[in-house]
Amino acid sequence: MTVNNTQINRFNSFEQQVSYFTHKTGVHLPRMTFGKGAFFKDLGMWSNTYHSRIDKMESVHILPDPVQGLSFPRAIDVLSSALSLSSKVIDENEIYGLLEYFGLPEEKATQPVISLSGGEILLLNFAKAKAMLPYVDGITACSPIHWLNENRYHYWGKLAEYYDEKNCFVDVALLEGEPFIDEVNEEPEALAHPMPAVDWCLSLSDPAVIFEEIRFPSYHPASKIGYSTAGDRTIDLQSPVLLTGDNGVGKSIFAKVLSGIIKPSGGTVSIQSPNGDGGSRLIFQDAIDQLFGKSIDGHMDWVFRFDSQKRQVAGEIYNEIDTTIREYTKERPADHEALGPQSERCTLLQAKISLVSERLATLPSVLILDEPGWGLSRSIARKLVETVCRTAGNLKVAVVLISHHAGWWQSMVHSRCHLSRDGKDAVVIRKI
Amino acid sequence: MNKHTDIKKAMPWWLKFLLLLIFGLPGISGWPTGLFVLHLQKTDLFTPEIAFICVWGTYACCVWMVVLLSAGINKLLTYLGAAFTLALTVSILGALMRGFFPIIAAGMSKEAISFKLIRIFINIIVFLPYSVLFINSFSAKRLIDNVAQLGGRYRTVGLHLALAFRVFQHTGEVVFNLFEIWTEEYPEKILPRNKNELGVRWYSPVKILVWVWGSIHAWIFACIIHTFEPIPAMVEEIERINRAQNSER
Repeated sequence: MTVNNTQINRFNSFEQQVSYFTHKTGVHLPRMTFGKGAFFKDLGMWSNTYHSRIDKMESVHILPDPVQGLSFPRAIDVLSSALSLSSKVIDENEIYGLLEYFGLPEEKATQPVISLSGGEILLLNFAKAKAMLPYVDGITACSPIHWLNENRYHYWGKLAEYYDEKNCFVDVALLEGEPFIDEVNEEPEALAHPMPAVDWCLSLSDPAVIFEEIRFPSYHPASKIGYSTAGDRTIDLQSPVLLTGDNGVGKSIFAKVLSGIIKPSGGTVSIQSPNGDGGSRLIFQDAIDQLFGKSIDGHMDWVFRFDSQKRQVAGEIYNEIDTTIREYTKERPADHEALGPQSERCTLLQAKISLVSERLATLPSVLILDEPGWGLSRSIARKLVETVCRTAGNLKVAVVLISHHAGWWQSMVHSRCHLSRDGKDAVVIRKI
Repeated sequence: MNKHTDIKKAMPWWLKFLLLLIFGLPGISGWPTGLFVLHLQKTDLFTPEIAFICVWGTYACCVWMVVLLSAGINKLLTYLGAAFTLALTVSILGALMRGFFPIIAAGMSKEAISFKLIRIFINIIVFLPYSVLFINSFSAKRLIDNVAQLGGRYRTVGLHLALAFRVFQHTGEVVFNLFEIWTEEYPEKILPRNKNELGVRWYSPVKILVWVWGSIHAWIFACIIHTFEPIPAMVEEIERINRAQNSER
């Protein structure tokens, strides 16, 4: 696949990537890890300066958190708005055609964007970019395939080829080591010491999640996902566990069921682990949102407001992970920026460490990390996950990694599970 | 598609706007609910307070019925859950504040304060579902397209209003997302997860106030921050639509 006009830029930290994106597009993304004061200051700065941008080149943007590039609530609105830039009459079939072209079924047109999976949101961004092609001069995309399953990378290739044919620029901002369509994945380094294992088991008794019909503001039919295992109802696992599956298969929903955010409409899911059979804790794909608008330290202080002992434990876990990663980055100065200053915690990596430490301090039965590598370079992501798994292993907390990049965690995981569709409503979990 | 949706699709936006405006008239002008309250009082069967509660209670049922027919039972229950939580929080906090700082209620009798808090409670449980229904009844995308076709000075003002409208709509999406995050952090929702420190009675009156006040504060700022976060990207999108319409002229 040859795409001539593609410019690929690689960065060592999320903050550098965002800064490049803002510089290229003029779209300012307020900082979310410094707390409300910095947020409003950034927003104020943006409102004072955004009109002064000289470069008036029209381009499509895929933001680091791709949902932010979709300003309307449903795919049908997003795509009709994109098509209307260059055409007065919009045919609904054209919208369905675009969705199908990027592997999204027709019913996704009316599903609220916020309920789509990360990969589906990226694919919708691709469909939007194709719809806008006649109107724009190029595309600036941050990590455009990070949330995609490998079998869907070709959708980005197709989109980039379209832009190339029209002599439009393709500007891609990636993090170091992040996979890209025509690159060979490096073999990950072997671990110096074996990863501590935690034995646990997952029991499923036909749990099902029903998504009610939406009648307002527009109609979207009800849907259902039922989870089952391929053989016995109980799967014996050894932590760390890697959970894989295609985009939209229901991995994140399963993680939310395990952590009690979504209650199954029928059936049960249970966990038996050394730390008991309580609920698991979850770090979302877009972990920054879990700071709930607070600064990293502000959030940590607030959740332990009535439990200073656990606050202390969380602080110790934070320092342990932080020290290990700092030691690691001493030999790799380029990676050091991702870790940020010790005095003022403010980077995405520090936010992730803080959220993980907070959860480990509560000694959950299982800690689920949904796409832990998002926003991190490959080496830093590996070091973070390795350190977290070791710390969790010492605390007898089982860890589940949900990821599309199985290669990143090679030699780090003890068990693997794969989720696959079996018919329209059923998902089968297989230990592989 | 079902018949209900087809009817909604067929209704022109201005008719929908007019019907919703008429339906919300008691909130804007106090008419005709004020008139009914007076009539009930004149019968001498009701005190002014009971007459007010009867009339506004009936109006609340009408509003909920319209929400039920438009949005379905699940959405109605979600809106009511949010409305009652907010109404209770505001009323209880209002009562506490008036207790701690009597100057706020200077010159008012205890009965008058209670009645005022009941009025606030009723207003929230009526107008929160109504406002959500109103805001979500119109497509921001169509509004932006239509405004971008306007000429003259109304165009810029219209685009700003359209953006504000979309940001309001986005608040609903933000609340949904924040609710999931909150549930993960605090599975009991109204109680802190980490409260087991030995010798600390987190539920002591002072600490529970800290928790309640901190939670309200956290929700308010999280809603504002997450609602405002995508504004730069939204502005870029709307300006692009505006530029595209300009170039077609």
